[in-house]
Amino acid sequence: MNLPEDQMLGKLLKEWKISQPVPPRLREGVWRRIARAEAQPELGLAGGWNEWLARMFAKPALAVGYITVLLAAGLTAGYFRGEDQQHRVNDELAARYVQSLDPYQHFSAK
Amino acid sequence: MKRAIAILLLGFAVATLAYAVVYHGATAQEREAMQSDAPELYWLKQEFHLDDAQFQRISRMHEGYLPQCGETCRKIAEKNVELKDLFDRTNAVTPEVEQKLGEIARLRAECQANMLRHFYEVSQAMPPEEGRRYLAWVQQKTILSGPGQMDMGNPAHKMP
Repeated sequence: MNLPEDQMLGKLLKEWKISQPVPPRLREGVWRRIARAEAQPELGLAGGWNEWLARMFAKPALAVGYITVLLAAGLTAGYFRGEDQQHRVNDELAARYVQSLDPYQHFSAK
Repeated sequence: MKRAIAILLLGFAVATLAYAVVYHGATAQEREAMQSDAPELYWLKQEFHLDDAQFQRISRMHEGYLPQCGETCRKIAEKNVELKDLFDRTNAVTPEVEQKLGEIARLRAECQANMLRHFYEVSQAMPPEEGRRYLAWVQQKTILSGPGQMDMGNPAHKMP
């Protein structure tokens, strides 16, 4: 179904005249590029990965999501590892305090 | 492609930085403790929420107690060597062995009484609630420790 806008556009296109000369051997160049693209070997694993990565991070939302996930992972790992270290050091210092007071533990620690 | 690799690396850098910042912050107090002159006393200060005056007082008590404790240590070690000599010379419970065991038991009782005295003094130098918590924990870790006793571990995360 032709809308009035389509008809107007068609009319405009028919009236359009190209004043610039076409670059020499344009057609040949286009066909050569098509042939080269078709002749390209299939992407390997690395190529596929690169392709996927480029496509993935081309979308800003996905790139932001990726960085947010890694940020959260870093924060969480740091928190739990820090807490673990806190407990370890506190246990060690508590044991050292007790050892400093209790002669029996001097012996058992040796 | 360069942009994708940059984003990939940026993600790793952000994760590493976040990890380092949080870890560094979470363990700052422990690092400070380990770098102090007496880490175990620094720990005591943090654990039982002592102010500077209380900490100074308890540190002095601790320093006063240590030579006494060292002397008891030396006596116990001496008696243990004597007991070992007796064990090497006999394979029975002789009156000499019994006497030595008695001496060691007396020394242990003396040592425990000294320890307990020190614990009471320290607990009294703390805020009342912390003092009670300290006393329960330290008694459990020393005098009341041993087979069949409940291990209360670090007071920070094992005691109510």
